[in-house]
Amino acid sequence: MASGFPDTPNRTAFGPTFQDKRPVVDPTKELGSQVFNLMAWQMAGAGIVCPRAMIIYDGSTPATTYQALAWDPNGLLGNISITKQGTGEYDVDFASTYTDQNGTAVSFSVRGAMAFGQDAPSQVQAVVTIGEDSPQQVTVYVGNQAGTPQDATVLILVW
Amino acid sequence: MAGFPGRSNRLAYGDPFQDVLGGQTDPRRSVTAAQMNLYAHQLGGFGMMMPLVIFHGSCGDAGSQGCDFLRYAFATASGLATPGTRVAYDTITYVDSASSSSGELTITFDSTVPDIDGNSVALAFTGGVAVANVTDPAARSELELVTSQQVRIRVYDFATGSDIADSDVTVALW
Repeated sequence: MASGFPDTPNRTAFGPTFQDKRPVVDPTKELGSQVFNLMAWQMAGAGIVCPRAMIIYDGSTPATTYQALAWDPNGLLGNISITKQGTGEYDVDFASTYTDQNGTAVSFSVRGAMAFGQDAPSQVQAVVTIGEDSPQQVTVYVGNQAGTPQDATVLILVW
Repeated sequence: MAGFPGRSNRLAYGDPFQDVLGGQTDPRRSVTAAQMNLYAHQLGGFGMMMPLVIFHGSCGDAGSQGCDFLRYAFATASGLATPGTRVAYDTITYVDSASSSSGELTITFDSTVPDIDGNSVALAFTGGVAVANVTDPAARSELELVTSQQVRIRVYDFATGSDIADSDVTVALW
């Protein structure tokens, strides 16, 4: 069986294009191949473009206030390591592997990332870099309009 | 059936499912209507909410070298095998990324792409976001939907208004 999150399986991983054994008589009690194929198409597509991690981090406290990981749908894992390097600079360090739905370790590296300041008034801006120290690292930089570093709550999206 | 790049909502999966039998006897070996309705509900939500394209690349590096990650919800086998190396994928053509100036990137997509049934359907973005992947928090990134298939991204210094050359950017398009 192919790996799901943190991997991003394509449509092929969900099996071939399914066909009905016989015509669907009652679509409320029978799952036709068309519906099932649509489910597979959408699951593959959504999995590929969906952020794999969303973290809300309060840089003032500092503390993670919310975390959602695509490979941890029951929310059992501890918080991703975030190290405040200084005012307005936060290192987010993911592990190099996470387990998939089968318990198999799957390699993880960051492919893209975004960060958005959450505090009001929204004078702060957040930007990110990827892979400064490792392929699993996102560094968030927060500052005001002049670029002066400031602490703030940020929403971080990672692909 | 539609599916990505269209927006298939819950209705695309049919009327709410009902159990054939009275109840689930072995939850490991049978799927209930309630479970299937949850699948359909969640998939309908994904279909409405998910971006259609995720892009990571550089503003200022012309051509394919400006892109090192590209994924489409409607072309699940597409992407870049290695950074900067674009791979062929079915019949969809990612036209090009061409820099119009040092801090800008224009990405033009095909006007039609194949859907789940292989039919050619219109690709039309409704919006997008771009976030600069740089260290300067004074950097701003703006995204303009030039046409329904073309976006222009600019990364610049808010204080000076000047472009920030060759800055990486992550883009999501809906």
